[in-house]
Amino acid sequence: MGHGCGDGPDDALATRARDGCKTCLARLYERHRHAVARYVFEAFVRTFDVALDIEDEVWKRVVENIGGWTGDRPFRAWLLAIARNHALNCLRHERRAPELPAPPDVPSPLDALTSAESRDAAVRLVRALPEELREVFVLRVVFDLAPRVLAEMLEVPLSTIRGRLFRARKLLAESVSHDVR
Amino acid sequence: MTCVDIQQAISSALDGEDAPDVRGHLASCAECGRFEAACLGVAETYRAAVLASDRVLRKLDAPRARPRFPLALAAALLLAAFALPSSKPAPEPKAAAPIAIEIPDLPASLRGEMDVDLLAVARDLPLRLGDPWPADEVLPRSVAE
Repeated sequence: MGHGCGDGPDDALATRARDGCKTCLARLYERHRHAVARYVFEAFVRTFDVALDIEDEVWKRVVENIGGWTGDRPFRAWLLAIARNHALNCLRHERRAPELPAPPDVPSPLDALTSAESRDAAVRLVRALPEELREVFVLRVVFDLAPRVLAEMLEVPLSTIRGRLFRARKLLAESVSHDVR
Repeated sequence: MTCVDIQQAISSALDGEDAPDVRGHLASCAECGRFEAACLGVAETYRAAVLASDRVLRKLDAPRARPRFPLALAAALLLAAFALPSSKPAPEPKAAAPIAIEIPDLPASLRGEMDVDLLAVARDLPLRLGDPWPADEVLPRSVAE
């Protein structure tokens, strides 16, 4: 509605990309190109190079499959669902352990929230979460996906998403209390 | 309500969902207050760390040992110009003539990731038309004209 080629919200761009507009597809890539590697790295894999390899394949699949975009979920959720499936397949086939190594010595995290040390500490705390909790926390906090969208994307009940988010927060809060103590 | 109920309500509220008002409890319960503060603090700090991560951006912008996706995107988009469905029937094939395929405008940050020489080759690649041509409306202006 009133948006030109390459302009407008994600879902409108995706609809036009589905109908053949490669400028809109390029615009979606430009907007979200960092999201895939970021999500895969934060949620699943140990090294960023692996995340970048997965990102390559995911965008190729997006180009191949944009014709199947139906608009029944936000484009970003659709994109990240492709990323998730591909990441899990890669991990299965290559027998890469998805679990991250135990975090090293975690310094007191929240005494100065703006400091680089606190940022690193927050990252380590999140990366120490069990994978299924870490994934929903990352998708919720970094990508701002609503619990309902997460439930559709991960194909689990909404109550499961709520429970995972709560358990993730509980573990994080306990870790903070432990470190501050 | 127990403290677990309260903390579940805090978690739901952070997700923008309907939750009972727990301010009265928070005023008198240090444990639940710490839970809320930790949830907010870790989430905001983590989000800021990830979004501003030099590590991510440096990695993405660093020269790479082999061509990565942006070049693949350019190639895929060239292919997509022929493969993606169009809403109109294809017009009559035109006479074979060399043309230039226009690569969509890309931001400087993206151009920086691409192999410039190869991209230039792709942009100016002369193609002969023999197959059905996509509808004009999906083509860059320089191609449609």
